[in-house]
Amino acid sequence: MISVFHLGQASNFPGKIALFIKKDLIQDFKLNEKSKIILITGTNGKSTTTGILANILKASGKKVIYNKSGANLLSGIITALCSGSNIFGHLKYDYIILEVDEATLPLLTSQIKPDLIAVTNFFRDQLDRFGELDTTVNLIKKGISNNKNTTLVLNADDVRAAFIDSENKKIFYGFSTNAAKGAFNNESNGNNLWQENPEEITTCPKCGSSLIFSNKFLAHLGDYKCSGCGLKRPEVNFLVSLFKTDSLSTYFDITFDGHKNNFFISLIGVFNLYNALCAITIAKTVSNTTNVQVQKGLQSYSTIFGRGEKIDLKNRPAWIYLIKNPTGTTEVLKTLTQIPNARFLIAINDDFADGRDVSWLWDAQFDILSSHKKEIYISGKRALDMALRLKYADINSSQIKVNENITSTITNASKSISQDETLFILPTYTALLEMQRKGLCKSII
Amino acid sequence: MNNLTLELAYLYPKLLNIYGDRGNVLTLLFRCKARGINLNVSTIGLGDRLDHAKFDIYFIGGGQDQQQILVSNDLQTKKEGLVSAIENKTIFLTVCGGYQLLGKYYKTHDGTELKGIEALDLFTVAGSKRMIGNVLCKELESGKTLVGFENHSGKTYLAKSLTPLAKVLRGNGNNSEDGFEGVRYKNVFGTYLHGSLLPKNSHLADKIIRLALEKKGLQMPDLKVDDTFEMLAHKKAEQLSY
Ligand SMILES: [Zn+2]
Repeated sequence: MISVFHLGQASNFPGKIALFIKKDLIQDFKLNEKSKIILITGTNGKSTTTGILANILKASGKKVIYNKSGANLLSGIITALCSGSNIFGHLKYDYIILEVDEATLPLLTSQIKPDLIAVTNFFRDQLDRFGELDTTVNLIKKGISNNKNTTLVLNADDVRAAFIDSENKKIFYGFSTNAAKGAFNNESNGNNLWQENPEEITTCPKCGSSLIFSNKFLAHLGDYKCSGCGLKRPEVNFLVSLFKTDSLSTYFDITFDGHKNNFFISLIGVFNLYNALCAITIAKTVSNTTNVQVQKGLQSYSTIFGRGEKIDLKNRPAWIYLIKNPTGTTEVLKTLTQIPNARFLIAINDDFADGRDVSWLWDAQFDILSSHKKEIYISGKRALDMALRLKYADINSSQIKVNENITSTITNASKSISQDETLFILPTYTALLEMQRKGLCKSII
Repeated sequence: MNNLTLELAYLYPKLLNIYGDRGNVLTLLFRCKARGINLNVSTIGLGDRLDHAKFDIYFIGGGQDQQQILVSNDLQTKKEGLVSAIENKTIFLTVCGGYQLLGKYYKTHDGTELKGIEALDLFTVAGSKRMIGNVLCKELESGKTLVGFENHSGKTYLAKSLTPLAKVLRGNGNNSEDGFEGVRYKNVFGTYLHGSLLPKNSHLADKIIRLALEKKGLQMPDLKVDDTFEMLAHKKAEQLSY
């Protein structure tokens, strides 16, 4: 994500100037003695978790500041702090919530002392940037080791997050093995190649043996134990004991402190339930927020279709869903193909911020689109790779409309689709930035 | 319809699945289907028995070091059958980690030696610099270009008796020293090219299918597959110099 905001994005500009002037500037912000700093890191769900948490704490009557979705590098974080402080650098907030890029975490925690760090998960994302997943885990470990007194909130279902090597106090969240009973309809897509996948981490962090799962909730997230050394998922403090989902909302029970508590959120997808669970775990850990306040926060966060953002294209609405890695893309496709009259535009770039390597397209389940009978618009610098991916997902070549130019693709698409159809645009980061630069949509990240 | 059938063994899809290598299998499936060839894919995991008499094509992808350790150990139990399959001219497509483990060993950064199956006289040593980026090379056998994306720290060295798959035109290839990429032995193709490799190099996909049929005494059906997107994507990738 680093270079995204080096392209002249206004949301990071003051931060960049400030960093240029003074490298350890973060230390100059003066906090209320009582303000608490919460950092949220991990591959997926940082923005959504930050957003939900901010809404819960606001609903609890707290003063909250947080960085804009995606602005999770030092420059973006300083911009957020600048906007929230007076000219003397005084920050008068109860909670400062920051989503932090994995590589930025060690830089940030060497300068400030967070009260809590949450680690959402480790997925393959821009591997060509960090090399391998273990490198990312080590960056976060380093970030944590700067502060022994910070409480950790960890996803117990992700073995790499759960067993991050540290002496800090740990609070775990996760799903009960039976949580998904009846929650899923039909997961299989006919092709047995996908039943094997996508499983990103199947080995024990301690001894390297393979892990045995009694249940998997999403990709490699699940209830596991090691076949070699007996390592097993830690005791979960905040446990989703049951969830049900309809086309627009998820209803779920979280068991903590021996009590079962009932919530719902107008988001669908297991990813989003993990995000809500993480946010609730943090809120309950750092504040005395009540269940009613939590529910109020969940309701105020909601958007209509998952974590999409609505834009106006020549007076007709369209929705944007960023795609950046296989699992996230598969979840987006599963969600959007349930919406009647959906039309799709996919824009794939391979700039540094997108990941130079487009091979991740082959690990996303685009075959979910194979029953879609309308034309699909394909754009971006690697439009042809995307077109090829769709072709090999059994989508008829005549349905695949390729045009590398994003502006004209969007213009054509919005003209060609009928009034009762909704356009869903799935861009990578720099494709989205290009849309913003060309004025095709307002700044949303 | 004729009843052309091929059997493919997809080794360790759970562990070696890191850079879209599954796309190679999807491509073979699609291009076989387009020609009326029935391609059955069997996935083989740790501890699974491997019925060597059954398979016409083997595919092994790449993984991270952790996963590679498990695979290296498991391969030792399948070694004999795999080596004789290779000697019997069964078709192998192996990418990155899978390619490395056909050789003698892979020596990791911390000096651990992961055993290969010693089918091919090559070895791999982890280098200090990760080789990442788009690769353009020329297949020695056909003179045709191959495009892909490499991402490896292992440097692979072939014995003099072995022929590389391709000459590097842009990128690092086997070791960023000798200017060659991959290995070509009997019906074995070993390479560092992800991408996935086969979708954008459809000539190679078809060669693999043809070799598998010919090994069984069958003819490749004379049916042209529309390659418009494949050719355009290949041309696009040829121009990527990062
Ligand atoms: Zn273990």
